Amino acid sequence: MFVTAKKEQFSLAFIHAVVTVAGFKCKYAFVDDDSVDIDVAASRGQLSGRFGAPQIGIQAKCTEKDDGSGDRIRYKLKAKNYDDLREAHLHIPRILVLVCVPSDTTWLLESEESLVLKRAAYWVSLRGAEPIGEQESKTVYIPRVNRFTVDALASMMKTVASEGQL
Amino acid sequence: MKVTIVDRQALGALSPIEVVAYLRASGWIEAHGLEGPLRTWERRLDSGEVVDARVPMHPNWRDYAPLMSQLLEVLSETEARSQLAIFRDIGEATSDVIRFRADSGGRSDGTISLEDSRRLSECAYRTVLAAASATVERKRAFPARKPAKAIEFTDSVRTGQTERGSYVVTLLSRVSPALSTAQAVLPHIESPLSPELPFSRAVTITMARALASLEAATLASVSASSMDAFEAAVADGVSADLCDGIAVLQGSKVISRLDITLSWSSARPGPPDVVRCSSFTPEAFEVLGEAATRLRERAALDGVEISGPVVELTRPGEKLHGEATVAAIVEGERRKVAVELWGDSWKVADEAMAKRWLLVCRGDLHRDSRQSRLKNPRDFRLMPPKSDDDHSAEDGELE
Repeated sequence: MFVTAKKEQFSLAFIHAVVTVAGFKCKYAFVDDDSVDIDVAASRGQLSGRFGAPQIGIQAKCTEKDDGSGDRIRYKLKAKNYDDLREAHLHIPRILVLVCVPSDTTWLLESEESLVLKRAAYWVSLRGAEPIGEQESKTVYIPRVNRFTVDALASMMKTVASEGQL
Repeated sequence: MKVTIVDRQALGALSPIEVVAYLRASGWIEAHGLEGPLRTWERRLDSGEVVDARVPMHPNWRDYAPLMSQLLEVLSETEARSQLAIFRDIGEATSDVIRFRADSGGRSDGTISLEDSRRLSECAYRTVLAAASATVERKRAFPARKPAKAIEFTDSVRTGQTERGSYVVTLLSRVSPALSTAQAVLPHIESPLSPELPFSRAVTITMARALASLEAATLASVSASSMDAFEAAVADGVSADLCDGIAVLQGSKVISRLDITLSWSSARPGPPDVVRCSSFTPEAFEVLGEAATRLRERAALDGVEISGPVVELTRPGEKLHGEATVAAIVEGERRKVAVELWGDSWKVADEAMAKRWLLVCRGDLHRDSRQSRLKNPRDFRLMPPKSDDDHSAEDGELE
């Protein structure tokens, strides 16, 4: 498998694992060309709020270029992906989740005692971001404090249930 | 066949009103008290489990199509039906559906000849146009130039997917949803919808009644060897044009039966007392061809003017309403013609009778074996008699 394809599949697996452990439903999107790879949904009655059972759409990306330094991670998005993520008029909020893997191939360590997926994932909402005009890509900055964890995902879903948006 | 619909254009073509109409009709209940651009509908399964279906409300938002795809998946799993069938049913939720089914005598592979397919489509088109014309006004036969409203309506009717089993032409006539359905989707909008019957629904009702009447008239004419039943059926919307519409199938050597069924849009329930299935056999096709000819011959009696002395005038109650019997010349013979009167027209007839003048009026002359009657009477006026002959009918025997 080409490295690009491996990164894509690994990022989906990473996110799927977090979603599953957080107790939500994880669905892979069928409709093409929409910049959403995974739909995260709460089960009926799992989270209550005035906006009903929450859902979040996730666009998954993977990079090996983050060295862990600085308080922001730079990532270059294609113009289409950027526009799909910054769209304000959406029924379901969307986020970008960037899975950062080591530059060597030790992405997964497993033993009888544990399974480790390396290294970490970070998320950002680009809703309402400025348009990019004729550019073919846009560099986005993801705060390093925005780690995509089980607790972070649970908190996001609670926010969507009560506020409707992130 | 398990199919997942992913085409954005197809998914985007499903409107929230259609989806809501479908959900209501399928036993889903809206969960109230929730906010946001997604509406939640619930359904309790036999197992006791409650399933949610989420409906996006903004077709022009970017994630509308993928969310419709998710909805179809939920509906398909819950109802144990294919997404294609559900997709079709949603599309039909805001339409009255008229199906023209041709039975081709044992052949069940869902195909018919190209020529018979053309005939069936022609039959469907003419039937719809005839019903629409009759909805505008009742006539024995319509001129080549049909009422503008009827043409406009017929142009709006869409052909749906054909169905396997026999050959079926499916027509979809869009009907604006009942206020309660529309307001469930657009609660904050001053609804432009009126509680009055939309013309498209009025046409479907006329078609149902006319076809039921036509089926009965066909049977009656065979047993009585008379066309009177067709004449009486004009009041229900039967016309030479409708007869011709069915009779176009006469040329088929294979079609052994035509069934026409109508289903109301689930977004606007229809009247329960209307018969919605009529059937015609090749023998009927032939009779209807003859009926069309006879009705066209008599169409000359639509909008005719009659004049004659009033030989009888009734007023059953206190209001100015009753019936006049006018001794008029019809098709060269003096006949008694019954004319229903209200208000001013009753006064004119009363004056005619008192003065022994002639009552003149215009309307559609209908005849059966028992009497002649002028329907849709209008343009009443008095005229002095030209000669004593004008009053001879009062003394002699008339039909």
